[in-house]
Amino acid sequence: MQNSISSRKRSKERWGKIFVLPTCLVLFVFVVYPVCYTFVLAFSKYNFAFDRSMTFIGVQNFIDMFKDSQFLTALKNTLEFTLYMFVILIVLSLAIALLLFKKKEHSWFFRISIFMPIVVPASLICILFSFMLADNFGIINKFLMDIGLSRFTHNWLTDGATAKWCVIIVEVWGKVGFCTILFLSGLQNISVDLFEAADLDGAIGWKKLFYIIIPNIRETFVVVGIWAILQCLKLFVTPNVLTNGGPANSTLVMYQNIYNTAFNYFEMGYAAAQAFVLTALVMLFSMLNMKIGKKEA
Amino acid sequence: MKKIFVFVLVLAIAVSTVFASGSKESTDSGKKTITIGAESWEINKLFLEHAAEEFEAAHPDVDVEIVTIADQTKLANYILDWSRGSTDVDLVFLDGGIFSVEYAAKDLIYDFDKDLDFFSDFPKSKFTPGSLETGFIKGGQFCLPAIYEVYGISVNKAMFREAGLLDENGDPLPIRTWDDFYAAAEKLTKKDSNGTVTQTGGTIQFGNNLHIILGSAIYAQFGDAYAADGITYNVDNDYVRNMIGTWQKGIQNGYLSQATFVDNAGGRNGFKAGQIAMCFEAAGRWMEAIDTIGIDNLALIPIPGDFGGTVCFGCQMVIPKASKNADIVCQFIKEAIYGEYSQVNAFSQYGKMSVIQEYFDKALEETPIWNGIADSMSKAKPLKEYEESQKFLTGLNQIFQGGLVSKTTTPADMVNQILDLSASIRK
Repeated sequence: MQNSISSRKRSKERWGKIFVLPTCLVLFVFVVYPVCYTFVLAFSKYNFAFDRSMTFIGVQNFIDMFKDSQFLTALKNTLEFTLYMFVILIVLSLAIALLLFKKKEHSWFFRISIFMPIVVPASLICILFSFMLADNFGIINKFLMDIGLSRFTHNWLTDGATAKWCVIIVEVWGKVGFCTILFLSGLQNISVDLFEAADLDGAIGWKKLFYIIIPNIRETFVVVGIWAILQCLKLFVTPNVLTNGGPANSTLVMYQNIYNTAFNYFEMGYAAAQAFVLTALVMLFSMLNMKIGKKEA
Repeated sequence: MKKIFVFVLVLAIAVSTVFASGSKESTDSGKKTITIGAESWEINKLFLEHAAEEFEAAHPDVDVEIVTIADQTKLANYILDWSRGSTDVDLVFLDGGIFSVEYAAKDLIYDFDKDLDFFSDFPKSKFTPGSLETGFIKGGQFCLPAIYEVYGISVNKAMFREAGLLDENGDPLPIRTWDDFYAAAEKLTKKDSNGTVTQTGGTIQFGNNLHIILGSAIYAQFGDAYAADGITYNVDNDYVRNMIGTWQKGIQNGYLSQATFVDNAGGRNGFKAGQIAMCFEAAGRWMEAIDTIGIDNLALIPIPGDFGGTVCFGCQMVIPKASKNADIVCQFIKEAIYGEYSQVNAFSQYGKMSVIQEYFDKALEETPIWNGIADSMSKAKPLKEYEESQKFLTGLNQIFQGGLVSKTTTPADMVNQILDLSASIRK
């Protein structure tokens, strides 16, 4: 009897391994091997178009990176975008989620409306906004002129300062829906008893928000936080399509710089090194977010 | 039984996954297939679908498939593919020879002259002067131009008329120097009572083709875009410093549009929308504005400069060495791409100039506006493609987009930056 059970167990294990094997294989080919290869590349000088083979140069790529004004600009812009977008995304999506949580009538309409931008392709959103924000024929400047506010017209995308904010607004507009839905599901998981108890104790407004709601959705905060950090750090489509990183690199981000270095300049080694710095940043911020979440818990 | 069934199922899934993306070979009917990769604008404006149909009708044993390339940055993928000796395209259209340098450097594309003997039954004398040179990259005819373009200034004559910039024949007054250009832009710019620009004098392509703008402006003055070393742009002189100075003043005073800083099409879209009076980029832009501005309100004028020439560049074709159908593709180019229908219509409908002299002349008769820059077209010459052209272009964009709006950067500073950039890249 004992033997029969263990042989069945072994057989199950064997079949389990067979079923897991294809996934492992795919993961190895498409994740493990490329990551290892990129790691080797990061310590090599290798221009894919012009060099015959890789040359090991140690940490030279990492040293060069911090002397490269273009990389430093991209790093600075990425951190700036991350800071602003993260704060705006979290605050705005929580605020909208709270409104939707409170508003019961026709809530389906508002939920669909807020989620709608998520299903529109990011590049299409950018093209539409680039037309709307254009200097000469954009609808926003045209509207301002038509209502007699021509002094407020501006070269929105070709002025570095406003171009940055245009990128942030377009990004937030496209992503706030997803964060809102996550927060909303977090809010719906809070026990009704808690709200009733709070009402009896006279907790209203901000008190309810800070002492009841926020502590009870901290897990959602961690999830939304990590998602938002990832979205902010891997910002690419919006600056690439909306401003092409310009004007004068004012919206150039790390992802775009890595892409240009690898696929326009073919400097694979240097691009790989930059990619590792970006990965390190993503991990650092994600861990920080998780740590803060745990601490609050 | 159950186990066997599961095992067979897993095996079937694995096998179908592996072979799902199987390569495309000759069809069962024994027909050969050639695949053409091109951007959507190239498919439309060069009438590639018509060319394919024409060729298939003449060669019933050949199928011509056209695949759309999203944009030129996707071409980087071909390097990986072709390096491994495989390809899913037999002919690729490139938006300029600049994109072929890497392929040529890695010996991934055919030299039409040396490897394919293309000109043995299609003499070079058939081509318009200068057009074939646009595909001469790194000492070889690695590209063939499908069409070519020259740089010039498209103008909105209605706006010129209003600003008093037309002569008694209704033609634009000559703009011989960059100071003339600035003065015209100033006159053509309209501002409302708040000082907001409601009509812009001009636009210059400060985006993806800035190297051609710079090169063509220098060439138009000196008859050569390069300094004594024959490879560095001839920028270290008072003429270029003054020219950049007028561009800087124009941008800062709102007489020139900044739209091309972030949107390659921003300037020409403004011109087409009737918001900008002059558009300095590929000369064919005037044709795109016929529907909105009207053909009677359009004209072409040459780039300011004593020599009066312009720079030409081509939409290039390359054949990867990984292709097994190079001979049929060459036939396709000779018969269909260089056929009358594609060449004449691309020119007369879209301003994409024919590279075949016979059809060039034919199309020119239909569109006399081109005669406005006839002299400069006759002196058209291509620029040299650097090995690190993309890096050079990105650097130029930064220098100009930063410098033109800066109150502290002088034209001399910008010239020095260009020289430093030029020295830092592989040519």
